[in-house]
Amino acid sequence: MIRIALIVFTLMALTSQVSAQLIIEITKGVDNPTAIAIVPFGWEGGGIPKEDVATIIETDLQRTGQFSPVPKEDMLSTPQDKSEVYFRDWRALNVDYLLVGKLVPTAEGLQAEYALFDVYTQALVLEDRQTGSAESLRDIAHGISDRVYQKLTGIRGAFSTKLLYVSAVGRGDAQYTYRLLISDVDGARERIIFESQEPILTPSWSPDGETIAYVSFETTRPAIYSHNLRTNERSQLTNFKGLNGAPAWSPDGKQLAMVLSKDGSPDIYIMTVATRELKRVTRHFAIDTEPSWMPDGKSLVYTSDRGGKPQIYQVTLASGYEERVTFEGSYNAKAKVVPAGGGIIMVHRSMGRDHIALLDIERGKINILTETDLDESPSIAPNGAILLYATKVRGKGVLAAVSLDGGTKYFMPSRFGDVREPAWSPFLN
Amino acid sequence: MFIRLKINTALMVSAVFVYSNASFAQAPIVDASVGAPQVAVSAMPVAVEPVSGGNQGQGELFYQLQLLQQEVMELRGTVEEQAYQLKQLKDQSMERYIDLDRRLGQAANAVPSAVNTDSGSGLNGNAENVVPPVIMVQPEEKTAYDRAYALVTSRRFDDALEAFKQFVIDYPEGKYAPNSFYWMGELYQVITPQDLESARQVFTQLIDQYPGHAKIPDAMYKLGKVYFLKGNRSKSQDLLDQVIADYSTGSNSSAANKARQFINANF
Repeated sequence: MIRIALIVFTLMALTSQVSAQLIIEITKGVDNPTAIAIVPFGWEGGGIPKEDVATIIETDLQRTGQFSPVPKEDMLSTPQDKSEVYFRDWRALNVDYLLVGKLVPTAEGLQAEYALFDVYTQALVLEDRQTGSAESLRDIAHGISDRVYQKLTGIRGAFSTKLLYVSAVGRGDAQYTYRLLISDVDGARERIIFESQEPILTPSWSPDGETIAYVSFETTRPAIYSHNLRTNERSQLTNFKGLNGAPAWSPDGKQLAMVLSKDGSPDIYIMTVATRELKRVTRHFAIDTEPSWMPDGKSLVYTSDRGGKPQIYQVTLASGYEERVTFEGSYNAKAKVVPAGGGIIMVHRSMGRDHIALLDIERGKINILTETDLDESPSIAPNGAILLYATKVRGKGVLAAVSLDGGTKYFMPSRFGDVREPAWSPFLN
Repeated sequence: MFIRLKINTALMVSAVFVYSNASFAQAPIVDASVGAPQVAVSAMPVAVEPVSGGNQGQGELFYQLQLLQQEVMELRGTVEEQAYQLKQLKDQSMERYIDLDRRLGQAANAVPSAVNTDSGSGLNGNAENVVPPVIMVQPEEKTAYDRAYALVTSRRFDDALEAFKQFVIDYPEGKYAPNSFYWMGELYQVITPQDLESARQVFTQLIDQYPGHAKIPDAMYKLGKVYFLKGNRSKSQDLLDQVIADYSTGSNSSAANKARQFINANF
């Protein structure tokens, strides 16, 4: 009895001590990232490799905010094979994990052979190969990042996915050239998909990542187009009077939710892509816009000002039952459903400023993720760990990213003018 | 013929305006700053004017329609928000009821067991001989508490909060239940966004539910701080004063010292 009392007493003394510490640390903020050493990969091909695989992996992991790579200059040895690893070299650097590897030419192209170690237990955590063509060093590197990230965090890596976004470059007289661009998640290998002298808006990925839909004003009026990225085949889906906007693919890829004002005020419609058949979903004299599908494909969330100010509503497609989901804040819009489920991200105005926020639909809890003003167009990574949004830095439109726990933030620079309307692809492999 | 048409139009327009006047005259009731009769008077001449032409009447009609739509939208917004608040209130009162029911149930169970202890001891019912029931720590309880506490030390605060919430549901009578409430109070203050109201609730619950527990002085001090953070200075000072008054002497005076420092620094 006395022993129990004693244990409890010391425990309590201990806990109250920790609690005092806890509050101070939290106001400072962030957890320590995991230290990882990524040794420059060995190269057994001729000449010099076109890309530095280790550096690509390093920046991939660093961007997540969960890892801090060890600078190459600090490394005491540079093993390229698991047989060459001396753990004391790495323990001296206080490294948690160590990745070593080399690139070997094969008949088809290249093969990366790599191994990941836990430095403290000296255990081999992961040993694998990644193959690709000689030109695909960046794909090989992102593939390794995906595997390492998943092994160490339990979350599927999204480094091999792509980004879509729209740039606007001035050409005098308040005229702009608009470009729809695609790039790797690190901004590399940017290329133009479509260029126009009129605005391009709201690009959206089909779930298989093969086709995209977007709004183009090329005929001076808005119309929705679909564009196959593999064949580069392009077709106009809508040409109605008034607004044609905000296309969003259903999770099965067969339907496209969109906004049309052909029958009066803007309402949500669903088009079956194969037959071009339209079904009206909402019917209200207020503005209904920006549809996004719930992961089960059975309902949509959208923005409506039917309650006097823009708020997020949800409609069940089978019954047509509409329900308001946001109640905090004078303005909530541009909802995007988190693909893994559990919530939506949206633009949330609180105290007169627009932020990107995460709404837990079940519990009705809003979590503000960004502190800057004028944040818009959120788009979420397929693994649900991070999201992209458009914001302004010194008057210039740029893309920025924030992790869904709010802990990590970074900017995505682009070579072309103002950048906006980001859309993160689904998993492509 | 033309005159007839004109009269017809005039009739129609005025009929519409009588209708719209009725709705217009009602609106100011909501807005106390505008007198209802005043509006009715000022609206009257407008109703006479459209006789001169159908176009203007239609324009006016359209304008009235827009006003009505705007009004309906705002009302809809208010209804939606109130329905939501009502639902929240219902949920809260249900939670309170369940909590009360649980506590009454506890009280009802506690009485017979105290009687049993008394008669079982075979003594003459002298109050001083009644041994307080010893709460034995079940091994599962200790494990669950340790697990929740480990989440705190690894600074996974959201998870820790959920774990402690589950703990007090699973072991409401457990030895560590008061500590868990205390931790929940602390955690509500460090999660993002901070939830001071929930922190206030759990500290209050801890103080109400476990009188005499060793954590009470600390909980009162923390509750005082929470009130201060919520901007309720008087309530904060009352609590801190009470901590100083009740716990300044004895082995557990650290809370009183902290309360004194806090008052000196902030009041």
